[in-house]
Amino acid sequence: MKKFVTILLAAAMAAIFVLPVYAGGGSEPEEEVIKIGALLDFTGPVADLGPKFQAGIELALEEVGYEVAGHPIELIVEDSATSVEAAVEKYKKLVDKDKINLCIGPLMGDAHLALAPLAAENKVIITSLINGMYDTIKYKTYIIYPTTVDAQTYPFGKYTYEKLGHKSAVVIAADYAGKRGYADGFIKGFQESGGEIVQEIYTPLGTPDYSPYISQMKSADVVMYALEGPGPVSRFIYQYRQAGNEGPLVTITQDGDYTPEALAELKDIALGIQGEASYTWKLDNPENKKFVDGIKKKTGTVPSSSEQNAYTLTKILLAALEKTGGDDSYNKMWGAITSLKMNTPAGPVSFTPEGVAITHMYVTQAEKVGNNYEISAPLFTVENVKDWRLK
Amino acid sequence: MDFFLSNLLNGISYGMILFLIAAGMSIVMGVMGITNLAHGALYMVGAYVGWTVAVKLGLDFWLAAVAGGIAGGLIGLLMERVFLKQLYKQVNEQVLLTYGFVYILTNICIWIWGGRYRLQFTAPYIFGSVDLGDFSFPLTRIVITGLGFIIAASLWYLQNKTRIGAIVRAGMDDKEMIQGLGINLNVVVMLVFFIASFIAGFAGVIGAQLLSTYPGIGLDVLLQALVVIIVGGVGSIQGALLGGLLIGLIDTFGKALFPGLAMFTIYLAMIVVLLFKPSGLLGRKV
Repeated sequence: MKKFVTILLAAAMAAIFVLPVYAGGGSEPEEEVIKIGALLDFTGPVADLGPKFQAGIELALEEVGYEVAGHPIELIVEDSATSVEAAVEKYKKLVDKDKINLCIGPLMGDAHLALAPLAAENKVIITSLINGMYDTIKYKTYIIYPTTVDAQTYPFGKYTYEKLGHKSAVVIAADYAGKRGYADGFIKGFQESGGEIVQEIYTPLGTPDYSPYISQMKSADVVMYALEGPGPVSRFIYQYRQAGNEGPLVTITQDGDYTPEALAELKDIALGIQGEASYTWKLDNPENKKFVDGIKKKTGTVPSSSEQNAYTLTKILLAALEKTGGDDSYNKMWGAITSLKMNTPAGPVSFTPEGVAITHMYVTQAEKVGNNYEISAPLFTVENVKDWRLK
Repeated sequence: MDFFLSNLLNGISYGMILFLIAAGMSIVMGVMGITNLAHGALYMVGAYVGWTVAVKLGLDFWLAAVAGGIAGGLIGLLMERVFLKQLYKQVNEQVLLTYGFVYILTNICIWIWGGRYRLQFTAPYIFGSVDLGDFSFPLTRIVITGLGFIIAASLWYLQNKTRIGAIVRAGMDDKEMIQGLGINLNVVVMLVFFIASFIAGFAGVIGAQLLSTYPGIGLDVLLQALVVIIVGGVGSIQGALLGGLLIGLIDTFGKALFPGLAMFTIYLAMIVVLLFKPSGLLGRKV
């Protein structure tokens, strides 16, 4: 009996150690899954944009079959709820529980400032979604695309003075770091060209009624607005025009705020308003053609910069992962990303050593084509916009 | 003068929206003793239903307002009959339950209408502005102001001058006595809850003319409604009207005169009222 038990135990040991080898699982360990986190806003004032970012990320991953350098990719999406607190909480969940090394988003500039030191400590690479904050550069953990908020709007301030001929401006912007940064860039460019800013108004996040601000606006050649996203922007334009104001308006991130859905509702109200944009779906290049077709197929509508930025950022991460052979650690990925040069739907992109993208800036306007309200092809292009503070 | 007048008119029209949001909630809270935190969510549902009727289906705006009111009223009635009926005088449970409904209704709205904003909408014949001296003022805001006063007068009459109003007020003070008189209080409670929820849904469509519609608006307006009720006093139509107008004016002039304090002015007003009159300006003494 004792002998029988010994043989049984030996057989069991053999089964445990030998069988997996013959089963094919022991000799080749399973490829490590690369986890990419995404902090997107599905609730709050910019809830419109979350699904658009997600569509862009998914399209890029679908193009490679959710696999890079032989590693499967898992996308983990969380709702950052247009809130710094929610963004930090969800970021911690992604890092502590899901063990991510790469994170796309969140959108809001305030959240960038809160997350940058945490990400530097965790050695996690985070990307902005629509421009980023210069103050995060020192942590060398943020991939800022298309560029910093103020560098994005600086050339547009110059354009407004020099090309549109407006000599004075009122600036109205949402009162948080990101939109204040956009306003600062515009003001710097406008003033350096010789323009006068007659008034700056900053409105609380989620302002329901802009009428008190509209009623106090001083007289100027143009009003530049930089508000939270498609909803507040549409609400402001509607209330501004409804109060009988017919003067010219200009704006920033027009491609992100003037979504096809927003334009369809605004109709004639937004026509002719010019704005700075990092992308328009009417750009003529092969990468954009493929991308627009892909998004149309996926969502049934033409893309805005939200889909494009998320798509391109994902493509950037995939290209860098290809270079590192699927190693998603900070030390390998930072150098791989900042040395990249790529053609994207928005035009060529490269990076400074600080992780800030160098891209084109376009000027677009809302226009009516047939019965549709659309964003125009570029009216003006500033090539290779680079933050003026970087060498 | 233009600055003062335009902000005065803006403040009154915004205050009327706040009144419409707070009126139903105040009646339900003060007269029936139910704390319905889902009142803002009913406003949101009404706004979305109104958007569907007026913008999507292209039907008349006022029909959309009534449709929004009916949607709010029916959901409110369902909440009262199935859930809140079991929780009379249990404030903690009411708060937890109705706050849960805020999330449920918000998510249902996201499922049906998606997460994006819906632009302000109104009847085509009241879009535009009228000239008032040196400035133009949106016609929509004038209509909202007039409508607010009409609804305030109607509700005040219903609460204070009709038999139903008397039954509700007496019934909440002494339920047994009213039932002893052979009155079916259940039906009256249902009716009042439906009317209060109807006003919330109706207010959603009226408010959408100024504030647009989005998934988080249920919580945004809830906060403002609570401030209005605290300032005006619980359970009183006159209180909700006074609170709404005061908060509307303080918020508007605060933003215009002290933009840096824009987020705090209405809460400062609330603190001052709580310090000197804890029951609200026209509320019952506590």
